[in-house]
Amino acid sequence: MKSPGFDHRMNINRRHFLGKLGVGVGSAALGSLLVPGLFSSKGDSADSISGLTHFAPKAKRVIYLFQNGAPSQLESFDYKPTLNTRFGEDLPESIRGMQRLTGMTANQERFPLVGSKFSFSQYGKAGTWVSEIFPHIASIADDICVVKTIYTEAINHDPALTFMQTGAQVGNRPSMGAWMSYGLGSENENLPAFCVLLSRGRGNGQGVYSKLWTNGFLDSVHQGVQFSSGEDPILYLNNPAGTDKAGRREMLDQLDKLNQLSYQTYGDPEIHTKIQQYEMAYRMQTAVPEVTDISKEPDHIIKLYGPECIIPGTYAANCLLARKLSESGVRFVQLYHQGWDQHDNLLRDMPLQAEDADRPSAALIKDLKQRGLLDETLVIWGGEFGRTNYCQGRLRVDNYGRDHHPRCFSIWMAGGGIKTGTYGETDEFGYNIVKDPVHVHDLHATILHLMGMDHERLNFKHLGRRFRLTDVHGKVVPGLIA
Amino acid sequence: MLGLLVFAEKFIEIPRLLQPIGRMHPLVLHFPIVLFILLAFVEVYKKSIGSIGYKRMLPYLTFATALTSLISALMGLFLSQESGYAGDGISAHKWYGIGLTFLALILFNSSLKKQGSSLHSLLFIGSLVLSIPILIIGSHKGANITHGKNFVLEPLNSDEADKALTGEVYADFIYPIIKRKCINCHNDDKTKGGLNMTSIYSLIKGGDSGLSIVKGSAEESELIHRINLPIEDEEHMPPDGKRQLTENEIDLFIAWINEGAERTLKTAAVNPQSDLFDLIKNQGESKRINQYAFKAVNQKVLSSVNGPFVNARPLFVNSPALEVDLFVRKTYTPELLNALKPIRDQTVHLNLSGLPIKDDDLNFIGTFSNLEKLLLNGTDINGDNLHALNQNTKLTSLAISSTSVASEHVLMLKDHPALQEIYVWDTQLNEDDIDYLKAKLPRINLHVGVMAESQPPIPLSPPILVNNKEIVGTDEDIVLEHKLNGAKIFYTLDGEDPDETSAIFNHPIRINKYTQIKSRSIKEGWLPSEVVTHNFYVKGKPFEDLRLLTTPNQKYQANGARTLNDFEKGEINKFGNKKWLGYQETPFSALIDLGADFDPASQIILSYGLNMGSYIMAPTRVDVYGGNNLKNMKRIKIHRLPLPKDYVPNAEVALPLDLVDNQFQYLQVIAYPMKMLPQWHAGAGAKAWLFVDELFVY
Repeated sequence: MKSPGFDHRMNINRRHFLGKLGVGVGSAALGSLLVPGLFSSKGDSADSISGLTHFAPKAKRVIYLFQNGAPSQLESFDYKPTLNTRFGEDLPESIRGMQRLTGMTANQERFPLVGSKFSFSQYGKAGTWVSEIFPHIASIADDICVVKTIYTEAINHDPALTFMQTGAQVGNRPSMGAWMSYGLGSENENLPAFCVLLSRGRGNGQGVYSKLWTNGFLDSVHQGVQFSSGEDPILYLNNPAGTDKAGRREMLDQLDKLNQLSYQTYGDPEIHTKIQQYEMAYRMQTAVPEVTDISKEPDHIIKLYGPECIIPGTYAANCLLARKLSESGVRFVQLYHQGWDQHDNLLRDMPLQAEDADRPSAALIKDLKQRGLLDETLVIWGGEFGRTNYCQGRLRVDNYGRDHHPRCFSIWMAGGGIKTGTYGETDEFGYNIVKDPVHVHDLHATILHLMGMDHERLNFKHLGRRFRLTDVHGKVVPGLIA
Repeated sequence: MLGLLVFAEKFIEIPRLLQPIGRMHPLVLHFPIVLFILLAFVEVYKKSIGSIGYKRMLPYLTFATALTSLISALMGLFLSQESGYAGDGISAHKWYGIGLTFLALILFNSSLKKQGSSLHSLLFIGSLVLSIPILIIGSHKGANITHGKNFVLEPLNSDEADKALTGEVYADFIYPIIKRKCINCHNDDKTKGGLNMTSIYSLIKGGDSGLSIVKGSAEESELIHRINLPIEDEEHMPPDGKRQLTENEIDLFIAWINEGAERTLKTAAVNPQSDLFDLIKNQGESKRINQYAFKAVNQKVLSSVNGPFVNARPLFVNSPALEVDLFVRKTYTPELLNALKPIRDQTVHLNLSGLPIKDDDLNFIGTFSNLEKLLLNGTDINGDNLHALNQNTKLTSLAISSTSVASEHVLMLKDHPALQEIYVWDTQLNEDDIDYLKAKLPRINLHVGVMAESQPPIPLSPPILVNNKEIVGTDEDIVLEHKLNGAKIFYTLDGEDPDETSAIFNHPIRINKYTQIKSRSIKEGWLPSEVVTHNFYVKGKPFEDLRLLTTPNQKYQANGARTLNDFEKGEINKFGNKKWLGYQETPFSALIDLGADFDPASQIILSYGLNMGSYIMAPTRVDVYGGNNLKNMKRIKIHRLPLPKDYVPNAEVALPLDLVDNQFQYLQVIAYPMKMLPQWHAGAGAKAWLFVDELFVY
């Protein structure tokens, strides 16, 4: 009978084998000692995963304020007075073209246009249009870039959301945060490199699932870690009742010895990963309470984010926590704020959503700016697609709703090397893009670029081919970069 | 024939058929090289070989040398007749090659006649000695033609990004691409296709196919045409197998040509509306950042500094500049900071935010000679020693938000040579200080953010119900709290909105009947919070039996009848969470058996949900039947509810049904859902839902 050890050595998977080989070559190469940089990648095809950026980054960290459910661009940043003057008229077929519609409106007999009931004004040096339900975001108009021409391919929440987060409509590709963790490594080894914070607004919600922050085929250390709003922000991190810190330390030391023994026998690199994970968790027991403690925040910072920010699990609390995590070196903080799916009753629900999201989002930008961190932190605010310029269901004078619209929607970005003002233009109906389209893949390429990574070089070989966040698409959008 | 080729090459055209033979020159030439070296070895070690062997092998060896030399020289001449080979390098290589061939012929000749003739012996040795340097120099010249100059040493040369920028678009952005990807085949020595790309003039002039660049029109330029051809195309450049241009490089070429392709175009003069502007802007910045003159830290030193609480890393691959972060207040020791000593001259970004850094530490930080950005937000400094940072002559950005520094401390940096930004939000500074400092430090941008005193008051958040339990026993505590230090909670039990004259919440409350508690939080500097209403249900009489007489809709059956007295309130925003029974068309009907030795009930509370956006409405009517015999139940209560006129916020509603003179063991509750949604509703005409979650009997 063959020893199990032998079997296991034979079974070490190729990824680990190649990974080990890479480290071996990199660390032992005589040449690199004699001539520093001789083996550094300068070629075009080399995909160096060194935890270092490919070129000088503009942003070191990302905070993605995902507005889940898809807030209407027509009631927020894409001002279309034509829709008010043509209230109730049918959307011309020439404008709608061959657009695929969702099952919710595909059988509608009419597509009556409806304009925003909320008024718009211009703010900042660039005269950015912002609707009245986002007064605080309006106040930071000079710090943000409103991109009106993002477009996607998906028309339903789950595929659109998955596409936005992973670059593919089907699940199980690595999420953007996982790619960043993989490409750039952790800045602070006492916290996860990729953190996820959830909140739920008062409007019609759509679910979010852990597949959105998956590591996909990357190593599991790159998976997003969800913070919960309960007593333990990270589940199972605290010592169980009856175990003290010294006891935990001793236990880990003994466990380490056993793990080392088993590494000598089996040679599985996962054992080393495991040891490191235990050590990181031990350090997180100190670091996490420190970073999640908001009791020392002064009143005027609480006021900036709004009083909700002291209630764990609210969007405001998550924005404040995002600042603290990001400040502590977390590469990618992903927020999801649910409840933006206004198929009907938009006039009641959207202001409620805006009320929750407006002040804290603006506060985060101000807070980062005031600490000298905005120039190195990229903040992204937006949903998974836009909403139709026509009413879903029967149009009434005093209320309406909007269906999903993939052809154009608005997001805003701030800090981290993003230019300020507005980018892109849609037609007078707010239905089609007329200038400077930005596909989701282009957005991803641009975000990676700002982080100092070439989206074509950040890849991972899996199932026989190289995968990227942008797959085989995507182009950096120079017009978005300051 | 060789002579003919050498001297009359200008008049000869090589037939096409011979071209492939010419192209084998770079392959065949290795034979004579090896044979020459072998000959030298044999000559040196002839004693060890023995004179018989030596004499026998020598003619064969020299013959092979001469033959292969001759063949490769001929091939080389054929090859040089192809277009693209001209210039001094080619001509020198040619003469070296020919010289070597003649030497090989002399060697062969003298090896045949060498026996006994001292003249030939001398000729042999002389030719051999002469051939070695010619071989080395000639081969080197040839290699330069094939692989390009500096092929061997290229990896040692630092990237051109390290070199200072000239401020001209061509020199800084275009030529580096040409140098990387084109010039190996298009230089003074090797001008494939007649194109020489070493200067902008020869580049524009183009090669055999004419002008390569039409200034101002990338579309009409041969260069761009060739680059954009599919890679399989014969004419595609760079050829298949050579390093290809990246998309960004192609874009840059196109944009540069469209902007006129002038050599003297200054980077600063590029039209900001043009694509070129966008493209070079990014690259220019990367290059600028890369211009650090200091040497990188040894990798070993860098590894030794790094640890779980210290992260020191190059700004990007190959950059000598480091960014350094220290983390976790609790585990911080001053040794962690002092350990940065070996890398302090390379550190350009230092982040110590949140750590217990003291003013004394600033002396050490002052010795970081290349520091550009320093983050000290939330540290323990009070500013006494801030002048130590005047030593950091490259420091442009300093963040000291959330520290206790005061105006006089910031003033110490008045004469700092480089500082541009200071972040002083959330410090001791008030608006007067800021005005004063702004006047005193005109060159420096003071970031003060939103001052506490200029914030308009906003409402506080309402109190939170701890445990979030709305169904309680008479011995259970009800606790309200507010997380903000100093916030007070006022409450009422009588349905009135509380204010500062109401009861203040400072100890838990207990109740013995259905109670509505209204509360709000109040704190100085804030507007009072909105009023929150919590409905508390006291656990009612125990039931002997509880049955549903009608079946809920199959989607919302929860746990059947048990749902109604499991003491778990549902939230109507989460109506799918198995705490609700949902009815559509069919009325809700439940039968309660209080048991044989019952106390008569005086009140029933039916709890239902309102979520109009989700078509969940109030019942239109609730009836109660009573009886002591299931066959003889009579109606003892009819309760009608008014039809709603508009949307109301989502809520869980407690509907009290008072029973007068009730003496019955069995009680039946029937609630009728709204038949269809009213005209004002977005779903007008559709069936409405009725959601019920709990039933109490007192």
